[in-house]
Amino acid sequence: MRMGKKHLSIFLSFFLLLFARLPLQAQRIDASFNSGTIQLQINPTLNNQPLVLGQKVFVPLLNDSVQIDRLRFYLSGMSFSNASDNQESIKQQFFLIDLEDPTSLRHQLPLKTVSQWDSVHFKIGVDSVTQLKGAQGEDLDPMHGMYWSWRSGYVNFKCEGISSICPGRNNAFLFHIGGFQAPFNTIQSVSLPVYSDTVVIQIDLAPLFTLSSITQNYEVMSPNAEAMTFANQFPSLFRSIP
Amino acid sequence: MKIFIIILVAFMGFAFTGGNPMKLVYPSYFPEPVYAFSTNQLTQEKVNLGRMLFYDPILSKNQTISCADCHSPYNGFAHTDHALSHGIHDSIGMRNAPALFNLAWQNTFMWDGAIHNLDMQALAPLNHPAEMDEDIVNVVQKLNESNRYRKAFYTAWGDSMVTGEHFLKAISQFQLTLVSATAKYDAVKSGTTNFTEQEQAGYSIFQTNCNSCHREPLFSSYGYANNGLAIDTALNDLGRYGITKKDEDRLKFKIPSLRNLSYTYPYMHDGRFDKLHEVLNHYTHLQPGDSPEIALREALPLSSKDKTDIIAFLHTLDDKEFVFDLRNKYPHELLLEIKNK
Repeated sequence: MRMGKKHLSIFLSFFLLLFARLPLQAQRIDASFNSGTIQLQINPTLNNQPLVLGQKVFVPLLNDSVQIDRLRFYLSGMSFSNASDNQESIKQQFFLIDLEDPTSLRHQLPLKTVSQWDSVHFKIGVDSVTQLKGAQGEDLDPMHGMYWSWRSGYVNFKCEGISSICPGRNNAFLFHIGGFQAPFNTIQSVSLPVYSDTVVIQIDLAPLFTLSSITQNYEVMSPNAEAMTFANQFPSLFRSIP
Repeated sequence: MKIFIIILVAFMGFAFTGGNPMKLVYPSYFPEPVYAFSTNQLTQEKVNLGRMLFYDPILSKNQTISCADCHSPYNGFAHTDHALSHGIHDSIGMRNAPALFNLAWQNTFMWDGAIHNLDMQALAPLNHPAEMDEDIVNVVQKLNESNRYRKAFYTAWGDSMVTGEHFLKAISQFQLTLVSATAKYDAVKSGTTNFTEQEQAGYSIFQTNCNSCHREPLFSSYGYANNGLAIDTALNDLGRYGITKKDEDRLKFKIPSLRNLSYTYPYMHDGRFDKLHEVLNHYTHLQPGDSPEIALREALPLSSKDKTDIIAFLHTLDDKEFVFDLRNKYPHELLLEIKNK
């Protein structure tokens, strides 16, 4: 019985604390900023239309439609900064973004510092130090189809689909962009402006589909010059929207 | 309150204790291992699990091929009588299955160095259409459906849920314990016996002619070299070049250790030589320009007596104790399980 009373009082104090904090919380939401948590949302698009796997979208550059069946990529080493020299890194180092898994497109990012952030910084891909490590778990578990087996290394960015002008088997294009050793280090850095507590990052894939990528380099699955050409385009696909 | 205590005690009883730590045993004259044990600390339970996995054909698509099929303990974990590896549906691969020992001292794996961490090595044969033709997602699913494995994973990792990470790390653990350091050479090194006169003569010739690539005491620098073998035009295997795409890596292959040669024939990346004297004849018949390596610019100047002496010395690197070590053998409990099915 004594234990019960103690529990009750602890429970009540929590309750009181919760109420005491409420007005403060409300104020923060009004300012639409400054909370310790950032909501991250990834919006993959094709020609600025929300990307739906298995759905055909007309790409004017190709004068043909493109259907994307798989889109996976790594975001890593994310940090936030502002003009007053504050900088904070997110604890979770690697995010596997997978269009087949809607939960991977939204993340709550807890930050210790309560601050008005100006910019978000991250890498597309997995850094070379991590690449050299042994088996890892969570988003880096090789079960996610993002680790090559014929040679060591993560695929940083994977996009597969079909286009009727693609000469590949079943008109399929396979872009498995990876490689972390010079001269084919495909990891890319991105910095984007931050407008509020909710960071919406749009990634539009349309620029990847050109006549040369769809009719010539439609199977890129090794660290090589073609992979570098793709990788160098990645940062320009990302933008944050207010 | 009483119930609370009972639950707490019961929970502690079942709580994962972390297993029995193991230390890798190796001689003082070996260098420090390069494997990052801090990320995968050896325990007896994890090694046992790795051993079960190593011998279990559940890893292959149709449950016919285990790691041990091409890496047999009696062959120093290589595959004799097969020049090229022999996998699922009687498929023949591109290269000679290499012997597995002293892996904790190697940074890269495979004849072309395609793999740069032991943990990730198993993915290659697992996936290869001519080896196991399987996918890690399926393997993890099969293991998760097996009560025996769920128990073994719990005993090893404190988590009965099989993950790719735990699967790969367990296989690494068993392979890391395959240390070959109990050959006659090692006994001589530690002062408990002596070479014969012929072995000693062979050792001296070895040190002058071979030691720059097949460096003591592991008997390999574990670097890559083009030793001047003519390309097999049926295979057209360019070796390390396939990975780095650097011209200087054309026809370079990983330098193998010279330990356990009596158990691990045939020799070379394509298994083209069955006998040690054929290997030595290759080095004594090199023409200038065959090999770009400084040590092999010219044919090795070895008389036929020198060759016999070298072979006598090489036999002192045969590690019978390692090859017949019961701890590395087929796990008996696995055999019983399959019989009872």
